[in-house]
Amino acid sequence: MSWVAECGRQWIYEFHIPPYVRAVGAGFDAEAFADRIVRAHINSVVLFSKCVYGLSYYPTRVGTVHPGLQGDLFGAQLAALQRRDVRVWAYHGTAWDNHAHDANPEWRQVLADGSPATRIAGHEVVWRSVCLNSPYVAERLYPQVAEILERYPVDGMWFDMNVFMDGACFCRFCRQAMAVEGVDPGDLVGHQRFNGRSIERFVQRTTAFVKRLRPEVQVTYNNLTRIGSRVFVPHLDLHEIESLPFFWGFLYLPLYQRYVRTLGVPVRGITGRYHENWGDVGMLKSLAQLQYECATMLANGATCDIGDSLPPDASLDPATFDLIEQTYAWVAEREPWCLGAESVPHVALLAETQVGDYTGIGRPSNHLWGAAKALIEGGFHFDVVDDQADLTPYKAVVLVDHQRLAPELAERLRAYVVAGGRLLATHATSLQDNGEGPDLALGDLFGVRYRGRSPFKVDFLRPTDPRLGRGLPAMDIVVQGGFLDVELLPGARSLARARHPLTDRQFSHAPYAPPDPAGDGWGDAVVLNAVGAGKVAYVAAPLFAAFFEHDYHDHRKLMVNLLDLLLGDDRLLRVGAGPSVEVTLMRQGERLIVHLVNYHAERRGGSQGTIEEIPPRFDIPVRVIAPERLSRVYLAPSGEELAYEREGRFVRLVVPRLDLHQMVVLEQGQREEQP
Amino acid sequence: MNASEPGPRRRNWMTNLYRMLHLDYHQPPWMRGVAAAMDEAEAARQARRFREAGVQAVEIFAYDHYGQSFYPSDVGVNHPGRAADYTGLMTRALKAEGIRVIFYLNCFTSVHLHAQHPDWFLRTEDGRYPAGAWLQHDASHICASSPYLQEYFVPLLQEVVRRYAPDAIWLDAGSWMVEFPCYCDHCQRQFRAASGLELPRGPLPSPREELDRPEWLAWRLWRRGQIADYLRTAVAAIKAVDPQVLVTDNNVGRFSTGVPLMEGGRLVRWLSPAELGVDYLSCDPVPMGGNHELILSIEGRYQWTTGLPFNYMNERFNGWGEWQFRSPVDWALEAATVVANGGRCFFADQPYPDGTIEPAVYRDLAPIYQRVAALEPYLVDAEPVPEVAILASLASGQLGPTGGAEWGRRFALWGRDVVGGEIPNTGGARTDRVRGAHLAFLEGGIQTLIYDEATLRQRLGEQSAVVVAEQCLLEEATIAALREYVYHGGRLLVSGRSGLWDEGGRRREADPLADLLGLERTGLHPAPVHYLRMGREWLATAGLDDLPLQLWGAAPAVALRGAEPLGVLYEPRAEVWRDGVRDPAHWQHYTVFGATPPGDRVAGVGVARHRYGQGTAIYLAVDPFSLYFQEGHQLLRRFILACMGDLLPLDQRKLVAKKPLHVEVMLARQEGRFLVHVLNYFAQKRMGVLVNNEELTPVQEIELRVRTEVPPQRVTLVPEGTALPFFAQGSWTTVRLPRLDLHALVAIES
Repeated sequence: MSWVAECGRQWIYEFHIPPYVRAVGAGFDAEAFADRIVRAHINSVVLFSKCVYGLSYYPTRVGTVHPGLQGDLFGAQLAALQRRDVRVWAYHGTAWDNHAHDANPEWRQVLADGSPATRIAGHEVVWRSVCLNSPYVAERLYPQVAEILERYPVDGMWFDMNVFMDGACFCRFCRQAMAVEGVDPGDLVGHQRFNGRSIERFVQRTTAFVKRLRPEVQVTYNNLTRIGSRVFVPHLDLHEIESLPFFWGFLYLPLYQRYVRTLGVPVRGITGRYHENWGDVGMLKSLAQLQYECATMLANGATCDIGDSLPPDASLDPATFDLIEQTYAWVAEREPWCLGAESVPHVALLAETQVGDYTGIGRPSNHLWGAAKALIEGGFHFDVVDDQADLTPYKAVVLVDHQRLAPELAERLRAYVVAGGRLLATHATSLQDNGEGPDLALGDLFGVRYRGRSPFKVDFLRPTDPRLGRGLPAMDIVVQGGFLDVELLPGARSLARARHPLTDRQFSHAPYAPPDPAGDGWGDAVVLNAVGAGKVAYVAAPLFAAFFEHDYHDHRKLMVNLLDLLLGDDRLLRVGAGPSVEVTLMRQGERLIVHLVNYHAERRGGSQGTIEEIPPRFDIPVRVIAPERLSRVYLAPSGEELAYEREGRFVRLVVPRLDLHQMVVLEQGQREEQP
Repeated sequence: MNASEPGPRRRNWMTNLYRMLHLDYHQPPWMRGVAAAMDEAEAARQARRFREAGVQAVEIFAYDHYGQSFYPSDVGVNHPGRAADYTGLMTRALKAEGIRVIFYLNCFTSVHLHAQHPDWFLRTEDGRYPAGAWLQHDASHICASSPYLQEYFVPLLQEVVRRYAPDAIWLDAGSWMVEFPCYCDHCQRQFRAASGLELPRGPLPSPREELDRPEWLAWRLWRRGQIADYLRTAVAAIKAVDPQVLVTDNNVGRFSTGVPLMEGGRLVRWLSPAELGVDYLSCDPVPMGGNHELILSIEGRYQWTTGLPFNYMNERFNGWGEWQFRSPVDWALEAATVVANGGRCFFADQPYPDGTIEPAVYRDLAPIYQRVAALEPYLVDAEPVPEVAILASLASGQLGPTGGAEWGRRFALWGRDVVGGEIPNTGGARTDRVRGAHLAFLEGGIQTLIYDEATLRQRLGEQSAVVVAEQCLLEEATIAALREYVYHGGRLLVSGRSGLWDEGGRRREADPLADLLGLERTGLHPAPVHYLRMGREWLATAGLDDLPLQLWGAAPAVALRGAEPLGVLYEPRAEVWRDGVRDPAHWQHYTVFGATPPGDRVAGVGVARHRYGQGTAIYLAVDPFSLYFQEGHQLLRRFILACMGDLLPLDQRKLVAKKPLHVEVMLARQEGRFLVHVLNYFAQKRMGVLVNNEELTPVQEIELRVRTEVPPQRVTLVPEGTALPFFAQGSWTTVRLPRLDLHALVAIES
């Protein structure tokens, strides 16, 4: 493992100090600073070399020194930390650079109307951006990077704000490049794809630039997180996923970690010590909240990075560091079972490559959010994969309204199913128009023929197969979003019927009218089809987006029933702990590790739910497919031995207590199993 | 008894009824076959099903929000697609099953009447006729100033009561539909006559500006005063036909919906719910799919003090017309929360247009109502034990500035990415201060009730402590009563700008609480955010870290007049003011959130304690309660609870609970016994605003310590009858609850 993967307790602080602040770094005590960091069990630190105001915190000769800076703050911090064997990254803002923006109007990111791309807060234009296709990169950014690499023995470069502020830039340089590539700037999707490629080129160039000067220096970029970030992987030594739950949401980190961990590059999750968002000084998360976030990272194969914010004198806040110290002591106890662990392939949630959001935060579709939420709450172990992934190790693949399905992927899916794979697909997956009208390219797998779309914005489905209806009320279940009208092909079996609402007119203060009671429905809503050695379930409704948007628990139960029906006895892991416990199954060498992460939010007023106390859960049954020979089964980090029973391929055991996080370790080995 | 003071607890048939059902049945005018499935047999089937599910009273539709009757009316507009006398069939069937019948009638909306009576309808400043309530139809919002009430709605009410003899009338779109700006001729004439003023021109001023705009202040009081007129008229009309029929109005009588009594354009007083003329209080589930466990708790802790019976709806779905249902665990927890907080259950369902209902709903409702029925012996005539009173001034809930960050803060939460414009109004509702106090005390296990001013004045002697969470507008009588209360040994916690305005919104010339608090509020500090640093000794006693506590919101400047300072407010760093000018126009943004770090300069006193007579008052310059409700930060709650610990130490309380934060505790009393309700809670992860409790993690080993004064004879878990181990020492009884699933009720018999 590289040091990047081994040093899994990182600290990053925010230090974007407005130029009007004086006495920056005044009275800074580097030795006390570094001592406290080491005591907090931190082994990797991101130090500010240049902030997004475009101001440097060392005496740069090629950039702009913060006008209030006293001394070489960056250099002093770096030297003190490296003397204590703490790894150091240099934080360097790229496209958000107020100073470069103001001094070089031709470098600015520009909107369609010719105005500069900025962010306003209060009365002010606070943030200003420059274009990554402009000479800024070669003339301003790279000399700064070279200066840092030449003058300071940094272990890594940590680039931030590698974005197009509004997703698409209309500056002269972008227009010229688009003309060469034949991109119409007015075509928003094409334009955004171009800017996406611009970021790819920037990352490739910049990493090459760093490695040319200092090959041993590790390189990472914040917020390259989106489905499709596989393209960046050859140029990354670490994939950082920034995710403060109160801004990004509690689902963001688990969803993207499950994707990025499949790409073969170390993953780190970034959270913050703040209650809400960066720079929210004077506030501190609870220990349980911070541990919960770190547990989510560890359980999903990532290491940890806790964000902080320093005052202009760069002093450390004692209460914050007490919190980080407690959290990282807790993480360090768990690391022996987490570092270098990989997800065991089981269910693949195949997601469309994201296009069109290069503003810094990848936002998945509601279909994908909903599917990930349903799978997590359904207690499935799963990876999120992109359309380049090898599907063959997976027992089942879930496709959610994946319309832009390439022919090559369609063929791979067909072969996958014929060879015994299971496929669950929803709604408009593979619905394409190749000149002969819309059709489902995978209709033969789904066991249906496309006839059209329901004229209603919602429809209802009623399970007709008891396996699908298990645990559901015997009634028509609404799925918002409008169904596809499909005809059952010979050999396929209907599991649920579709029913229209009484009317599509506005119905009282209801969002839609009740189901039409006449007849047994207008079509088939859920279809099961056997293909070769495999099985396919198709849902004609946008089930996952509806689940995400309306949080209706029976939508999740439908998905769980359907996936259980497909997997049968091949379900790798089953944990009887309810929808709020996230479970994963990781492999680390010869051992399997089942992670259980417990969630419990406090009552809330106008704010997001926060975690402060997690009531323990007791006696949680676990069933997992395990290797034939196990030398030991125990809880980690406590080491408490667990009794278990063999049942064919399965091991059954009971986790006696789950507080915030629990690991069940199954060590593969030659010792005889217990009688 | 003074007419301005609330009366004793009101008793009527609602008093001992705990299981009710609402059938929501608005039908668009184009719908055909309305109630087509209804005949005597179907109505009887439904009534039987309701009885079997344990329902004791059912609310059915007589007149919906489209302005259509579901019976053959001679007075009102009949639903054009009505196929049967839904109201009559259901009334007869319910009565035959021994179930009480409540009629739903909607007041100030109609999609049918505008053509004949355009002058009855609300008119905007630019002459348009807007839609009312949820309707998608223009010209459907009826103005309370118009003759509609007397000429149309009163005859309709009297017809339906005369014809079907219901047990109660539930009026909707009444009180909550009144306070909208209207420029109809009636409004112009009546406002001029009452105030001598012309109707003010829009837009409505923001809460921060409102009290400096006398014309708008006068209009708001006058308009809101029409609610009392409407209620008086409607109640009198119904009682004139049958005095036994109970009447209520949806939403009125909450601490957030205060109603002024106006005479000749002059404010007489804010009316306590008992003075509104209604027989009980009721509210539909607002917000739909919201955090009901919090809402039901806070509403109950207020309405239980009003002397009126009350119920509160929870609903089958996340929103009307979803035709699905939420987890019955949610329903059960909501029912338990309602009864634990003194209320009655009012479950809301929605029949299909043909009048039929979904049977699965009643299969899942039955065990919940069965449990409520088993609890009823412990609910009837139970009274909450007073301990900490939160004052909810009805005037402050309606008028004046909101709490929390008023400007300068950039909210960047998911779905709420509001970047400040000129000077944004980022504060929440005025009542967030009361909600924040309730939430913090609920989590802290502090026995809390909420009182309006008139009620609190009557009950002050029973309170261990009183909290005035930035209640900006206060009545003189309340201030005098608080002064008296503290002087004789009471404990008082006051925050922010409390009392700086009178109940009519007029700024007082001098700080009315100066002698009581031992300090004078002399103005406002210029910054939108400050950092509080408490003294080391206080922090050590409270067990809090020495961390500068971020406090957004208005910060009064304070001159000490005898109070002891406990903490100081630090200004944000001075460089944040451009050119050194301290006003909003010169405030510069700081990094992401606008939270400029603390500087070195002390703004002034942040917290002060004053011994007044035999009592103690603590003053918090920046109100932390609204901020806690809006942003939920744990440090704020810990600070609030530490202040309460300073004021009312644990050993002087009536109830001390060792429990997780999310567990709610309510201490009540019945003849011969104390009752402690203990409620679990579990919100699933979510991205949006919905709160779902689908599974509950049992909580082990909760400890309850109750000041029973004498050792109890026995302690049992009721209605199960399981004996619980207890330990009595001095005036305290300590009970250990081994396991809490959804709800537990502990009876301590003396």
